[in-house]
Amino acid sequence: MKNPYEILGISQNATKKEIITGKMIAMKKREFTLQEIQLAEIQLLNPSKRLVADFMYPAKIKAKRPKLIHVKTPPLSTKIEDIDIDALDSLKNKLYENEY
Amino acid sequence: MEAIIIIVIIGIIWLVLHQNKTSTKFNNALKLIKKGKYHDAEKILLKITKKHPIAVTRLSECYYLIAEDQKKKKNNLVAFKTYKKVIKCKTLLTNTSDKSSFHRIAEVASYEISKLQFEAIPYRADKKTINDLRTILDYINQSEYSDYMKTKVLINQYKQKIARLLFVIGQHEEINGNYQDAKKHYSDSLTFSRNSEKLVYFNTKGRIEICNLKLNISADLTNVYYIDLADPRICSDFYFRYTIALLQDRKYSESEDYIGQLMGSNNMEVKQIEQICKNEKIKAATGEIEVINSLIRQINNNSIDQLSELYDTIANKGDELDAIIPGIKYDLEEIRPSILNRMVLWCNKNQNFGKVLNLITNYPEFFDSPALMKNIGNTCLGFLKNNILDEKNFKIVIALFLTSAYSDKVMLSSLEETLWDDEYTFSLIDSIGSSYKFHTDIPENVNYDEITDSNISIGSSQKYLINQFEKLINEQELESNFSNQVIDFYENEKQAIESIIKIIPEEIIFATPYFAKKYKIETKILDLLESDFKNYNNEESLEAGIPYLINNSHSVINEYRTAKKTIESLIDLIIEKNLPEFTKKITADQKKLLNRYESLLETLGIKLVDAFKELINNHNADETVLELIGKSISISPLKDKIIYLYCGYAASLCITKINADTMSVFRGLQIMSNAYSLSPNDSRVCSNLVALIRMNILKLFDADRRSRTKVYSLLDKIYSDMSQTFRHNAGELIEARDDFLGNLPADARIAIMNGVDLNEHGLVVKKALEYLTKLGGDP
Repeated sequence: MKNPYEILGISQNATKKEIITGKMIAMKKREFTLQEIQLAEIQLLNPSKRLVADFMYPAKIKAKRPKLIHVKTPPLSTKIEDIDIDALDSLKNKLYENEY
Repeated sequence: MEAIIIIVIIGIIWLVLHQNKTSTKFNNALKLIKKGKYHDAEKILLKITKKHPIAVTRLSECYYLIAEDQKKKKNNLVAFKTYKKVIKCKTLLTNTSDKSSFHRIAEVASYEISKLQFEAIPYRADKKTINDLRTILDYINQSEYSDYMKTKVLINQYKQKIARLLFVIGQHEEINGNYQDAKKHYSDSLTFSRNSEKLVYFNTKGRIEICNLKLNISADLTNVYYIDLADPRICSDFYFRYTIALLQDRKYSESEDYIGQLMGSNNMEVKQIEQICKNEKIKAATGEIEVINSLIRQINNNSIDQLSELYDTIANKGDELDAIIPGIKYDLEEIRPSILNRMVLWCNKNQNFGKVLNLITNYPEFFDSPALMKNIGNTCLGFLKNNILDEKNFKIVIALFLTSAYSDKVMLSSLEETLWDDEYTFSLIDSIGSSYKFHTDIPENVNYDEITDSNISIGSSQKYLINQFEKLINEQELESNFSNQVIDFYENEKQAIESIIKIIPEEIIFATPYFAKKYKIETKILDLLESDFKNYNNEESLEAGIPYLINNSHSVINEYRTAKKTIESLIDLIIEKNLPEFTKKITADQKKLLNRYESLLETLGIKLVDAFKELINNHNADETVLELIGKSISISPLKDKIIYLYCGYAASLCITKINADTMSVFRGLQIMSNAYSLSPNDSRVCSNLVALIRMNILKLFDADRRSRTKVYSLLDKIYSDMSQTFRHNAGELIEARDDFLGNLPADARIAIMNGVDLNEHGLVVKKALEYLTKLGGDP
């Protein structure tokens, strides 16, 4: 059960005329057997069978064209070197000697 | 000889006198101690230390009291020396001395000595003081008197003092920048504070790690537990330095974790660290986004691996990046569908069906998208075509396909995607994905009209797809057992989805049980089924809900399942002939439960009859079978049929066993009497009962009194409720009576009939004949 649209080289929106033309081209190309080409044509000309064939055709979900993502990087106002490492020095003001 | 005797006597007298003299001295000494004249007592006691066993103890007590006196007068030096004398008394002890009493006094004195020494040493953070304290502590530890409780407390005080002083010295060294020396003193301090001074211990741990950070050595994080318990200033100091160390190592996330410890601080530097962490994270996130951008730039040329990488990055990093750059997740999510489409197409083209299914089923709420569900459907068909069904994937492939194929929305969406240039229309009248006629948003060329050549059936296309799938399943080259497993699973899933579609009149996602449970959409289905039962008492709804149950959340369906299981287990017990378990199972509660569901009750009735028919066929004459049938009468809705089976089996059981001489006629009478009480107008029962009554009565003549009483009781019961059919069959009893009387000699017959002058045996015969008459219907 090959995809008849692929066999006939046509889109999912092909008209009846395009289906018949597709069959002729496919027969010339000889990429598929005559039986496969004829079956594809029958499938797509029969609305019930074409419904089944459509089911077999992968669908796309709604999607936007991918856009580049822009991020604003904040300026680095502070550097590590600028930080006073002894800012919270616990021995700065007094020793722990008379606290016990 | 006489001289020797005299000498011995004199010796004894001297000894008695001498003893008296020592005792007197000892008593005098005690009196002096009592009066506080310790020095006088000391002089006397010193003379008798070798003569009196308690003299040394009293002497040491004397010294102790002198020392205490001196201590009160603040003469600590004299007190110290006198306490020492107590200890020295040990040298005066003899073999006869009371050593234990002395040891107790010496322990106390030793403690007082150590305490005076402790008090004498100033709280000064220098090496000499610490050395002095350590020396004394070593001495106390080695002393034989260190077991004294107060001494142990004092040892702790020594340790605390040493630990604190070492900690202070360490701080001095640290302030002077001698971090290695500081660490050494802190480490020494730890050995003394470990079990004695917790806060000093925690603070010291903190200071050691601060020194490590000052020396650019990695902090030992196993100590964080102790540092958290240290003084808050030490704690903040440590975390601040550690956070900066992490920043210097570019470990921004870790740094941010630790900055949390400093969040309470309003310090400007802490805020700066927070800002640096935040900025660095934004920088890192920007780097990651740049990688994503480079893949987006190349999206048309990307390989499937690059697409996968991009897709996974977007799927996995969205939340993480959004936490750093708020709103970025939305931008990333916008790209996802486009990449998914590309990947699905690529994988489909390359027949990588497993990957397609993974991609789609990992997409958020994929089941809401008819396009993705359609892709699932056609991928599952591709899967089967490639014959790659195995034990790991068959369930998901089947569940996905059926859920897709039974979705009207999938077909409608597929229909809408095609441009139909003909005048065809399509009808949902026989679609398999709904039991209602009100789909929302149907395309213009779709209706609910009858099927014609130009009004095409959507249902027949759906059925065609299902047939194709079933055909492919049957064509799979599978091992026989596995093949059966696949087919069973398929049938169950299909039946379940068809059942819920039939019942639920709402446009929901109809899924097979496996699909619904895997993707957690079963609750809605179960809710609607329970609601259907509540509104319409439709037990089919409960039946349809069973495969969708996961836990006990839906009580109505769960209860129905329990009732159904009860029926199954009852039937199993019948087939196993397990009478005890069967009896246990028929409780009032179970009967109540079963009576709640009409359809189950009907099933129970049919299944019981079928099970008993099978059991009767397989077991010719078995009392257990009869009892099982009897017990089931109370639960069966088809009571008449069960009673009919019971009576028939009872009759055949009695006939077979009595003929084979494996059952007494009395037991036969009991069984048939039970059957008679259930079905008094059953002619088989009545004719067999009459025969058994006759046999039992004729046996009465030889029976003992007890056996006769039992028979009489049963006969009375039958007599009290004789049915028409019984009466119709009872003529045999009158014949039996007449035969019996006819065979008796005339005088015996007259005697029995008149009842005059009868012995015990004669009375039994008379009574038996009366029963034959009564039950035979002769007035």
